Amino acid sequence: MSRLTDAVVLSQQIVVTATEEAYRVGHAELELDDLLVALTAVGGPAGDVLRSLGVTVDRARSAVAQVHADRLARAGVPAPPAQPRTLPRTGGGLPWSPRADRVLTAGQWDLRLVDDRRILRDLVREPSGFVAEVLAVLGLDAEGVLTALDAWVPTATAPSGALFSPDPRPWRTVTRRGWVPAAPAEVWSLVTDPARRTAWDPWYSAVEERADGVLAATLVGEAEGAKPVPPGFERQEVVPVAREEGRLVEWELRRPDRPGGAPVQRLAVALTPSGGGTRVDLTVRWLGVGGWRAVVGLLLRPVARLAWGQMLLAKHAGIARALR
Amino acid sequence: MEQPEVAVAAGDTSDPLTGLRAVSSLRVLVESYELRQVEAALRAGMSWQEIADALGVTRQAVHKKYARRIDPTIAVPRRNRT
Repeated sequence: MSRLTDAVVLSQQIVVTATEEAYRVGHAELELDDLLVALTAVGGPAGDVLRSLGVTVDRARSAVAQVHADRLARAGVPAPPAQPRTLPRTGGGLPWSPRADRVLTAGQWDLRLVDDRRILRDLVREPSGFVAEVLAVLGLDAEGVLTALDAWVPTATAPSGALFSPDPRPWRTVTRRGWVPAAPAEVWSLVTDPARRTAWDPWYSAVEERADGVLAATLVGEAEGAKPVPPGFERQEVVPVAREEGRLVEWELRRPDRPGGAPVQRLAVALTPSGGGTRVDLTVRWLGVGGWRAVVGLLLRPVARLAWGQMLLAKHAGIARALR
Repeated sequence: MEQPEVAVAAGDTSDPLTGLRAVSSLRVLVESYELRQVEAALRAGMSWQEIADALGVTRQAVHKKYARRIDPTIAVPRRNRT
């Protein structure tokens, strides 16, 4: 992926994560604190810097809660901590508060600023001083964080091996990279456990493992508030085709109700330890079909690649959400 | 803390910066409570109109603000799901 694609994907992940954080704590709008927590939860440079200063997702969350509680206590208002809400399967949008909007949209078209350090800088300098207060609770000062942001150098972690299993057929491939704040072993046990498949894979409403190891899955449909699934597509078989313990798992997706009528598709998840969490490379690949559909496929290839990329991002968001 | 004591402390204007920041956190807290109460009311079967009456605003106002913010698993009749 190009630097620009990386930047677009990263900002999309930040907004999705911040929106989920806002939902989790019951904010009516996406707020500055949600953005700060989101920066620690996505694998961008700002998160690298914060983690190097000891700020994890959990520490950021508790520091934010502490600042609100302290402010209220100083004003004499007792506020019992509220229980976090359970995230829904599919996230909706939330409006952004005016100050979060300013931080998110300032300089967004400046292509020199292709990473999320700009957002953290703006959060730290933001005039209400909220994020500076949170940093103080974490034992950090704003200037120290800004200096660390300037001093950051990329330490990209390359994937520890192939992103999918070797196969000589002419696959078309789309890969999206992400990062989750959890150890590879935790991610591995999540993605390989059929009982937890629906917790992260937004495609399926039910998954059962058969005796032969194949997962019998049902696609989400109208009953779950999604679009209706065309007849013959509801059931899917998820067949394990490759497994490198703790690092790579790949499945072939089959439609038992449409024998021979659907292109062969595979989904691979590759894990690499990175920056106190896990780099997750998700790859979807498929074999082209012949006849008139090949011509249509060729014409629509850019659209298809975009759609597959979005699908992979949704799966990545599901994995990250299940582990935050 | 007893209520009169809360009122005195929250309304203390001798340190405006602390007071303003407290009000900002208080606003976030109140909004969060309102959202949770609206969800609880819908789960309990109250209509948008009843919720609006209790909050002292119009039905349109409360629907516009919360229809897309509430937990999507709450079954609300005729809720816009787009």
